[in-house]
Amino acid sequence: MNALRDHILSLVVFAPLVGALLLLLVPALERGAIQVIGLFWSAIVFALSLLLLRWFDGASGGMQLTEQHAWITSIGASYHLGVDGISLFLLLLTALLTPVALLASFASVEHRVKEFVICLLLLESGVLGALVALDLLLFYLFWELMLIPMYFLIGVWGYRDRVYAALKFFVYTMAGSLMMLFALLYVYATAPVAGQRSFDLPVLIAAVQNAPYPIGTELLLFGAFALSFAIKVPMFPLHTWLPLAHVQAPTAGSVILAGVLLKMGCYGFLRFALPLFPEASYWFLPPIAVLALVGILYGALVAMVQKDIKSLVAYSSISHLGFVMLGIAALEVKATTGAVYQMLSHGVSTGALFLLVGVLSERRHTRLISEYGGIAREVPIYTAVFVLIALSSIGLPGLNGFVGEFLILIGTFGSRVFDITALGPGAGRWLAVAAASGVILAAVYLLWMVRRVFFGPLRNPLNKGLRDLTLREGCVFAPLVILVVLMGVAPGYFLKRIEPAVAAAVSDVQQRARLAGMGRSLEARP
Amino acid sequence: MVPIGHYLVLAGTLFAIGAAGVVSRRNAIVALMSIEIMLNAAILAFLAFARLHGDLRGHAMAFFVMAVAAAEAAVGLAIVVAVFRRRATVNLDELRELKG
Amino acid sequence: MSAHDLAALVPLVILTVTGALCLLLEVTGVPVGARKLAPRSHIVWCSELGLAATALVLLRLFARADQPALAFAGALRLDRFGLGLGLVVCVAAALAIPVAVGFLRSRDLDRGEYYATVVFAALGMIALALAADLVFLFVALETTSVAVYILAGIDRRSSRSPEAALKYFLNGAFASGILLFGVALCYGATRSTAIGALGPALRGGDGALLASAGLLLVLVGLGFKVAAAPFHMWAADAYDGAPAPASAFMATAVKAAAFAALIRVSVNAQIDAGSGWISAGWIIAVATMTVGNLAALAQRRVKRMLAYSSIAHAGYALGGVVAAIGGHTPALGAVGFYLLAYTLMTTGAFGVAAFFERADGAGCSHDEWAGAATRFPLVSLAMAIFLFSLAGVPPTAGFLAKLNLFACMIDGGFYWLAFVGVLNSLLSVYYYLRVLVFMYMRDPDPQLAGHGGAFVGAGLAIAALAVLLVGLLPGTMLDLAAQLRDVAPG
Repeated sequence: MNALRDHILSLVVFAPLVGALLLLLVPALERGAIQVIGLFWSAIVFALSLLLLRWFDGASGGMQLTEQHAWITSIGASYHLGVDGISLFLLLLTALLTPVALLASFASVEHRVKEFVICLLLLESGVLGALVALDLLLFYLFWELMLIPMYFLIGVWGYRDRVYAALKFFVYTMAGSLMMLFALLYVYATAPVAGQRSFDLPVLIAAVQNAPYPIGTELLLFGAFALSFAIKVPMFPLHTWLPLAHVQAPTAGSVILAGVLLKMGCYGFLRFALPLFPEASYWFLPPIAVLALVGILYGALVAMVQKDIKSLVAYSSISHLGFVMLGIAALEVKATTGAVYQMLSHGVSTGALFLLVGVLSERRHTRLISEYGGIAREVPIYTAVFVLIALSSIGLPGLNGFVGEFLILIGTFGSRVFDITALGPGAGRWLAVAAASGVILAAVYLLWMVRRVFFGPLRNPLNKGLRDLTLREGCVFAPLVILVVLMGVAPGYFLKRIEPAVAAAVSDVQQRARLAGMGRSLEARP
Repeated sequence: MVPIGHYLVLAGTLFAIGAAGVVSRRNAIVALMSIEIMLNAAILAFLAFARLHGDLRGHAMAFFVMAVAAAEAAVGLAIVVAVFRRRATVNLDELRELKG
Repeated sequence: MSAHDLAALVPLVILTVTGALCLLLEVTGVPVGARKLAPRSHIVWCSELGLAATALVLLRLFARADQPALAFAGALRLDRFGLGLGLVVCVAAALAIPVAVGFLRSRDLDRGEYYATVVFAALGMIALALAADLVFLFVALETTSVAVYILAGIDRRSSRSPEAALKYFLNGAFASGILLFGVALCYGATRSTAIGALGPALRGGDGALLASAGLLLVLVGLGFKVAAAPFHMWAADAYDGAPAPASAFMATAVKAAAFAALIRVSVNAQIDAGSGWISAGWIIAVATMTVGNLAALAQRRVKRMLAYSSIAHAGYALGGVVAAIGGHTPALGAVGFYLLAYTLMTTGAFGVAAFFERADGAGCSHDEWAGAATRFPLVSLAMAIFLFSLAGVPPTAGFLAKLNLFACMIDGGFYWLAFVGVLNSLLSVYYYLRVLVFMYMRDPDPQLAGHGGAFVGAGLAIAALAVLLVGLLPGTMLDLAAQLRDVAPG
């Protein structure tokens, strides 16, 4: 058991990869067989990841279950993994969403099934690896590894404009990644590490803590990291690839994209950009907060006028991730904990919404709101699930969406990060108030869409006799519905484990920023 | 005795003529000949310098260059013949199948 | 004849014998034991064995070369730099031979002379990598070039191949002429033809101007060979028009060897870090990568795209060379590692082009590759690996090589060079992915056919696995590359 415990992270990260390689070697079996193998394998990965919960010490805010081995010694890159409260549940969510997405695409993916399953498993490995990597080179490797299978998922199994969407997705993300790579290399080459150069995150953080960069350099470096992560989130105005990618991606692709891939941007801010460049973060947080606010409102307003259900959900993603970024930018324990919680609940809710849209478009091959109306009587169970998920996405108290948004808003309201900036004292308050209107807008666009799709008279005869959820689809939604309720009524279980890590990270950044000279700029500002 | 400088000027001039020929002439054979002029200009320079330095290295080099130039010319002419057989022209401007 | 002379001679003799044997086997016909094999498999095996033996000898010499030694009165220098790049040449030749077999058989070019020419060219390249004397350098360069001109034109019944060979030949010979004149001037300035004599001559005395002019011409000549802008124009025609297997070899091995010579000459010149040479070098590096990438964007033929991409990659490597000349010695190892990664992925990519190529250059355009992934999944997978590596996406050799190279540039203080390199990599992503779009995301073209076979499959598989392996576990390779630092006589 000890050996298992020592290598549990490696096991979880590489199990999907091994599965993908095994599938590569398996001759082209029947479609069903490959799907079942993939499902089974990813379910095992999920089961393995549950072991993390058992061994994870919720009270500690530090890295746990760490592993470190020599990797490329000559350039100082090591195989260094670890998990903390910030990444733990994201890890679990990823491991859960992959089998769910696989199960959901049993019927909809008809050609090149083997490659499809391989791509999903590779993607899972990439995301899991990026979540636990504590070595910058290793992180970059996994970060890019997420990109390749997603590119194929969109490009091969997507809808009509898939090629363009895939290319846009890849080029946008790659542009950010390369900026990050450059900054990363700069830090690697210039950080005052004693002895050999290193890509190790804790080592580099300690090095730049001892001898911070001049603020100009630090701003540029933070900017490069932030650009990369902001594209991934995506933050307004770098979001233009997202609706396209979502709309064109197959259901499973959208689920993973919304569920976990986007979170990697937010996660990157918390794990890398803030701790490495604390002083620059302080300079950048206010504009990030403002952009996040713009994203919340913009996403919500644009979602309102969408004709296609899927693109409505895609724009709602932009809005919800604006909340996450606002919570991170507030750099306050409550708000940032809320941001991490919101990442999870957005993953569950929006993932579920994409799955629901997928079910509908599988049946009717259209996702236009105007094609539907009054289908609640034909598909009662489906309608019930959809309404529940929509409510959770809106942030109804008692469901998961509420907890995160609430924490973010009250945290931001009390945040003092913005006081010393150009936004002026008390900026946290109006940011929070303005962001709260995003919650109202969410209610408007989601409920309006629900009304137009499900209620009212059944006008379109094609919708007559629409099939309700099958047993398989029921299995797809069951875990998500349970989570939606569970995370709503018992958030304490999750928050208890998230908060110590967030508190440690936040206070670390605050403290070091102050040491590094925010005190200076505090004094400089009358 | 002719001063060394004169040889070098001649060599430089020949080299320039050869280079200009390669760049401006469109007939493959003429271009090949121009390249030979360049090589010979180099040989002349080698010999002039050998004389200047009073050692034999430059002379040895001249022999090397002659051998290499012969090999190069042999392959070059073979290629020209292959092109001519297939396309019935050796004018570089007319050989435009490769572009993009 | 000293022990060093003998040691230096061994790899060259092995290759000479191998080449001769390949020719002989063509004449004598199939030996009794090999009757059951496909025709001329034994020649392929013969050349592969010869290359393997050479590589082993080079490795052995590499291990012992902690003290560089001069051989043949200073004509060759047995140092780790030269030996290491000689190994890269061996890898390039050893990979380029098997991937060629399918195409050669389909065009009835599968003759001993093809393999012999490759082996002789490799001989010239290894000599070039080791050359420490300008005379020897010139002769080695010409041995290489003449062999490669032949390879470019080997498909003489096609209309494209001879044209490519002619253009390649005229440019190459022109470059040789320039280089030779430069050598003559250097000889005049230094009274010697040793590369090591350049540095002192440049730094003062009456010969400085002459030596500078000579150095400039030599570097221009070598710049032609590595296809550096503005001397890159020939490369697209030559690599696109030549049969793809020949391009695989030309674009990699020639480049590795020419880079070896370029580095040896420029480092030995001991240029001041602040001088105009450095600025010129970095302008050329930036221009080369940018020109290559911009031109590659517009291509509709995979082969031609790869040709321009090879120009772009020469630009990145040149950036490393500039850092090395600027006094940052680890950059030498980074360039060596880069050339190795470049060799693996480019040979592989051209190898896939050779898999699909038909008569007169058909079968090499994006359109014709549409849907290749459904018909040829494994070859397409290999191509995907090569393309991602070329684009510098992890976990491939191409990524790690770029990382290492850019880190060296930053380390050496060439921030802008690294930054432009990063921007250029971004540009390149687009056109590499475009190929994958066609292969994976379009409906299959029923006319597409490939020349499979054990050799081709093995060659591509080895190249693809090597790209991944070097990308994931580059430790040993990086350690070896780090030893390629000793080019100049101390």
